Amino acid sequence: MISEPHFIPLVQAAIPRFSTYAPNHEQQGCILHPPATPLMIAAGPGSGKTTVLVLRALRLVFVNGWLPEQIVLTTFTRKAADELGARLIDWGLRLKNHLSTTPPQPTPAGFMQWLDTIDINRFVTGTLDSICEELLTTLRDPTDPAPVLVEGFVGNGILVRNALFPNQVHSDPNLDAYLASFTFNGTPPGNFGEKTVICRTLLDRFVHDVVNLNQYAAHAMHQAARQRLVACAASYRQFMTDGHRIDFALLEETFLQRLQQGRLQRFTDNLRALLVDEYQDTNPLQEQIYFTLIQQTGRSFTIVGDDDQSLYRFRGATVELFRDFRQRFVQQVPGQPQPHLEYLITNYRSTPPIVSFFNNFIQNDPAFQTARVQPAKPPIVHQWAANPHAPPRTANPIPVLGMFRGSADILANDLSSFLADVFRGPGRVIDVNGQPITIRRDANGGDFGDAVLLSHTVNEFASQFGNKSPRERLPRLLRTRLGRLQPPVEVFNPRGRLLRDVPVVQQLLGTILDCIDPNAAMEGTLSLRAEPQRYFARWRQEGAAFVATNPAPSAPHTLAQFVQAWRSRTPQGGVMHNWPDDWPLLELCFKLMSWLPMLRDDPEGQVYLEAVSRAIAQAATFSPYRSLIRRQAPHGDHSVKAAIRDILVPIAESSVDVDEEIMPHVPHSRFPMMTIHQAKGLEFPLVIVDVASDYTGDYAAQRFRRFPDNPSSVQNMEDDLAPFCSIGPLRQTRTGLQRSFDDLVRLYYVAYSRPECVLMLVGVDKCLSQNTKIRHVATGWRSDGTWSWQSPIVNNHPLFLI
Amino acid sequence: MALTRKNEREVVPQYSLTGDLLSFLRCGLQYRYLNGSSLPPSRPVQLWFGEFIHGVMESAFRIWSSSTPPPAFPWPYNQTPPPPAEPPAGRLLHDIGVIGETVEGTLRAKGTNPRSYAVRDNAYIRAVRAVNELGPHLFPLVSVAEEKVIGTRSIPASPPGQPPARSTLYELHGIMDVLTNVQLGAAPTSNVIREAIQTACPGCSGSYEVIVDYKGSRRPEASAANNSYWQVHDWQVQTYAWLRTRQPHSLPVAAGVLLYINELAPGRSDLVELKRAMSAGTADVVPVAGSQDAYLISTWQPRDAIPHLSLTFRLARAIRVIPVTPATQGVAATQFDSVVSRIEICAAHEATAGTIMQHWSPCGDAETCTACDFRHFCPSPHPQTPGYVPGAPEAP
Repeated sequence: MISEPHFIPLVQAAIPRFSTYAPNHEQQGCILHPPATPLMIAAGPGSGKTTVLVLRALRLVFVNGWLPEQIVLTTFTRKAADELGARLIDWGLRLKNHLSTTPPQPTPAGFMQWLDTIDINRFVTGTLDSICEELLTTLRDPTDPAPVLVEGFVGNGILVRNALFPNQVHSDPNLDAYLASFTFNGTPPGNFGEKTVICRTLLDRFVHDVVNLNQYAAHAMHQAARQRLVACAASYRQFMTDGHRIDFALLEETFLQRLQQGRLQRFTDNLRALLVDEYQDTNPLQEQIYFTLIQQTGRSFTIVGDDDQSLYRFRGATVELFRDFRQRFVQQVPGQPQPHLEYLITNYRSTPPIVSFFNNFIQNDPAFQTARVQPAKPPIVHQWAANPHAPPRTANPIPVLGMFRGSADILANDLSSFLADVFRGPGRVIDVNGQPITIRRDANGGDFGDAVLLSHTVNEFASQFGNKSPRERLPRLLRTRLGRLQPPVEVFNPRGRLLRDVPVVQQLLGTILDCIDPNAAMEGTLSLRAEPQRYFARWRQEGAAFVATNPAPSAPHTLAQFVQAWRSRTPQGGVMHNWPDDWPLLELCFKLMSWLPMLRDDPEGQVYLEAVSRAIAQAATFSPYRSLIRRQAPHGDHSVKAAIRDILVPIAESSVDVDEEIMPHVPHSRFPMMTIHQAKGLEFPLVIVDVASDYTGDYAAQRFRRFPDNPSSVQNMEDDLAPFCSIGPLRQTRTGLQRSFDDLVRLYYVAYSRPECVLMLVGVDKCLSQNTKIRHVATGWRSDGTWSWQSPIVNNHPLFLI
Repeated sequence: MALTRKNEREVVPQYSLTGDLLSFLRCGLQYRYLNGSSLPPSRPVQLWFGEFIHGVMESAFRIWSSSTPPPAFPWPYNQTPPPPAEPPAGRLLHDIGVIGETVEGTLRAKGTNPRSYAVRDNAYIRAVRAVNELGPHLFPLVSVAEEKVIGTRSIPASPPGQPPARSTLYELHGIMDVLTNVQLGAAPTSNVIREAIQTACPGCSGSYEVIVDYKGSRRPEASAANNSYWQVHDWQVQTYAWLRTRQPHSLPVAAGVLLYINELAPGRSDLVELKRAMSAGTADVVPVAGSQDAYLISTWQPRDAIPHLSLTFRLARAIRVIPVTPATQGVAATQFDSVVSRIEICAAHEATAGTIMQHWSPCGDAETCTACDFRHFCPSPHPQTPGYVPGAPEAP
């Protein structure tokens, strides 16, 4: 081991990025804080929290002599976990190699042997769920089956088939009335798909919030509905247990139970340190897991987070657990020292104008300040302020830009022109206080991938009403305009359209439908809801239109002939004389790739294909015909109906999500668009935040996204469950409406703190007019209805308009 | 003011020896679809069988090692009938039917099912033999089961003109069972695994380890060709050994044992291949001339029933011992380094061009291509005919 004072010099000597600038004073305080005292780190955006977490873990190894396999680091996403793991390995190996070539002098006896025992790969890193899954699998009893984790689509399929239908959820007006509080617009769920989503959220909440279901079911208001939901939860749980299945909520609950029963002793005996990243998005069940681990082991505990960046309330995240961590820890884990609080406030990511902008934004509403960590955190400071000798990341930092136009259409034109100037042309010149500054791409291969469009939602179309064509939103308009540039610029926006709306997916699914169910003969016998009916018709239309184009290859036969052969169940040539007894639907899907080049050759097409093929493969786990199309009656018809009901209906009802994480690289030439939630933890040189392209008037239906009148469905659900769970009173220290405002402030704070060089807010200019009625948290409105960007003088907004 | 370039995410890519590297060697394009995009295979027969065998052997060992005394071999076998029939009453926890039912349930929950009752029956026959014929020899030797091993290696620099890899390092993963000289020394001389190790590695002495892996396949024919299964399995063992030596407190690895489960109950295609390899002189384990096994194999025709080969011969075919030295480990691991480098170059080309097919080279053999879901549009399926243009696939 090395002594503590030698650790930072070792880091500087062994890891090139620290050779000139050591971790700053705040970071060193966190890295070197004594492990016996729990540590809470409130880390602002761009302040190097991953660096601190990694170096603290490495310090525990090289200074305290603990083995990497005794140190657990959890974070919120797989991507963040991968990054954490990558840095641990890279930096850990550098430290180890440095010590093996340059051991401390005099070298303590046994030093090299000790160094040999360190296997840097063995840090336990991952999301809490992935670590729970791994431990429940490896530490299970000899005759226990390994649990199988089921996710979204399958979980919902199981829920519908084995819990909701058996408990008559589809025909219960009492339940509809109860669920109305949790819908988008306060009316009963419009269709069964929406009802399923709400029931799923409630069932997950029961577990995450550790709800007392007996009390919940006994409550007088909506009692029948509550009892039905509790019955659903029991049916679902039973089915999952019988089939060795587990979902994310049950996984955490099972882990906690095994922990409390002492059945994970091989893990707890070995644990020396627990470091938790993104603690602001912890839910009450996860908090219990962490506290139980520390209670049982008494080991070192470090949490890192930023209450201002908590975004996942809708998944059960409870920011108050971070805000009040020190008090809660002392109350719930007796015998442990009072946690120590450290702040990381030096920002290394953004330019001074951007830091100043998001600092002002987070402090704008006095009503929000009491929702933050107390005592009040110091504001974020730019690295130049903290260290005047730090190298400027960019010369001539430019002010925060604003592009606001009369309509989204004009905005899209001007924005695409701006982007074309920056990334394809000589740059865009802006005049700042008489000084022209040219914003241009990096000379060494800068491209559209250096920018991003962030928005609350990146849907390319607004919701459809009746038979009117849906309105094109800014992401769609931008896609069109960028596509008209020469050469055209492609957009990467896999979340911009629902899977069911992607043209190539419509062609694929329409052709599949025509193959397995010609003339909709089986579809017509099913009682389908309106949405699948509408989409099936559209898909069939798109499929037929595609087949009519006679796409290559057309030899030895055309796609039309292939489809006809399927329709008549007549094999085409080859060695097969009779139509097989059964045929995997997945194989039909893969054969159709022959005619759909985007699906086989475009990385983005693979994202869509993966989602469709995953739906088909996973349906095999609960669908009676296991995604096979049978030949002989009556199974032929039944298997087609099962495929429609269990695979195609969920896609038509948007129950199947794409997973863009499977795409290892987004081509640098594509312009990415993403939701603010997706952008959490990321940084881009140029960030364009769409704050107001949708808001042309003060429409009540849009207010929840900018200046809510009422608590949202998420807050309503929290309040409904509050009397039956211990976390309820803490959440309700702020009203539902206050929490709705808080969430909007945090959302835009995350967006505004992503850029490195340039931040640009865009929207429709009505939002900025002096007498606007369009109130919006993102444009400086406070929850009391005052507008900081307006008063005391006209046009007081902090944007440099272009 | 020039914008900076977006920072690439810091990654140390993770590769699994069997899941990634062996898959890429089988076919680059298939690897891209199955591993890169996680597309599920339409007929996961081999996947089901491999996972079933691994699951049964893992559970059987857990039961054996946690019981005092362990249940005596042979363990009973009362298979769970297809629904709606009820499972036989009164089965013991170590009944292979019970173990198999649990493993099947887990696989079913993952969406992996046997293609037919025949496939399922066949898998049970092999599982029963694996437990009752290999188990008595193997289980007492195991020091650590299902050991997860991880190691970090450098990715070789890309050749001139090729894009760089995402990282200078990669992480290599594997799972293995570990035997030590202590258990081997304590085993009776009649233990066939001990005997096979001593025969293959006569110089083994002192403290050492032997690593074990199961293969849900037949024993490949011996070949020196670089991409042959024989050679690649050798590299796999050598690299597993290297990984094992990275773990703190491990002992030097003297050998690796591969257990080819199909050989315990060979099927028709296994026997066809064995006969072909015997006549080509590429079968490394053949029956003793004039023996009953030799007679049964030489007179067997594909339309005949599967012959009852002797336990001795079947075990000899199932057990392959590969001697390991630091030098052979180094050679094999270097081979895998270059595979990782090739994968990284393909990924980098794809990222630059935004297309897939021209950057991931298809190179499957007949067996790989026949079962491949992407053969219909593959630009170069086996036997890789120059000028081949894929035509339209046939229905169904």
